[in-house]
Amino acid sequence: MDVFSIHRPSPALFKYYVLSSFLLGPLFFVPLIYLYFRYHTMRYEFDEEGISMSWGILFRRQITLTYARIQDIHLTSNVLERWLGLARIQIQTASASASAEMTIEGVHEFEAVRDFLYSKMRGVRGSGGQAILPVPQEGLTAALQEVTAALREVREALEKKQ
Amino acid sequence: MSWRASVLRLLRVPHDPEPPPGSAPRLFRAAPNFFKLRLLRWAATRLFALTGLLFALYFVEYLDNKGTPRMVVVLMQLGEIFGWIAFAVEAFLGWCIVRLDYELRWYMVNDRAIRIREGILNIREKTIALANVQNIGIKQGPLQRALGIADVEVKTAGGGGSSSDSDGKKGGREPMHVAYFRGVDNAEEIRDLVREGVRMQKNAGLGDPDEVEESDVVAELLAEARALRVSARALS
Repeated sequence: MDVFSIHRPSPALFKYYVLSSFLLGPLFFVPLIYLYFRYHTMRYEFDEEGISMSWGILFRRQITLTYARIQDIHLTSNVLERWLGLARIQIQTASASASAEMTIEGVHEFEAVRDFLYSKMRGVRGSGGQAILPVPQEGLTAALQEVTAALREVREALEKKQ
Repeated sequence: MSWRASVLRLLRVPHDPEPPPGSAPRLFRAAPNFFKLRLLRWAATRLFALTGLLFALYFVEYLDNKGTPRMVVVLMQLGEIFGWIAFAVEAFLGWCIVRLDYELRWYMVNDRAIRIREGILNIREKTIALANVQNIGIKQGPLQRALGIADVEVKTAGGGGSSSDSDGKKGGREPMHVAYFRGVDNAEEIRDLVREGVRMQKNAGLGDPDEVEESDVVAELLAEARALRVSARALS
């Protein structure tokens, strides 16, 4: 799953918008008009540095955030969304707003996106999913000596094999 | 248990959460007393509803004796029957949800992140890198103290949520920068574990890009060399 290829929400999101508007009863058309345009103008752009998301027709809105500033990632879903195979990825940065800074909606591969964002967010990047190792206590020289010893052993093992 | 499987299928509850990448996580669960506490709350609200229904029953009887038109009495009796059925269904479903909500809770901590998944109707999964944790606290109410459980609260930087809804229930919406290990009976242990994990991180958690440090490079090199040696030994 290539996260960079996500640009549009899935059509299931529109279904979700329609169903959730109808839950309001006779006033369903009020959110529906807004959500119709929101769905049709929603664009995602994942790049090397961050994500940007935009929507809106009269009042346009665009949010851009950098992966390195992501603080926490929430994955939430209600019953209706799960029936449609969706979930919301709510991304937090350290800003003071009470709601999520960015909510990625309408992506079926939400778990892949979450893992991707997780691997890019700060405090996690740069070690390919491996456990953080404690900094060698013995210091640089000892560590390099051990590396050399290990390499020598590998070389000897290879030579013996030949 | 079949009710369990069918409720889970109906509500499309996803599979168990994956642990966050990193070292093998330590998994914590809510304590059995957490279920007791939730059950107590469930029973209390149902009791309230039951009182209302019984009172309505009495009221219909009273109207009947007063000689109110037959039509009205029958309508009210129908309403009463409907109320009882709704009560029974709702009480059963509520019990299922309380039970499942207790069972389907995961609190995972590894060397670099916390992942918490909770909820049945509304499923919430939070992933917080330990590098971003700002403070940790323990909250305990009087009932929780009596049952020996507590909530561990982990906060990251940023605002959100007025103080009035900070315990997450009143507004129905939890503040976004807080995660809770609800109803655990080893709160101190979790707090110390998270604290230790946070101490191991080097940055302040305010979003400065990670700098690759020399010592990390050396540590990674060392680990790689060790792994190489192990596989060379296996080869020879």
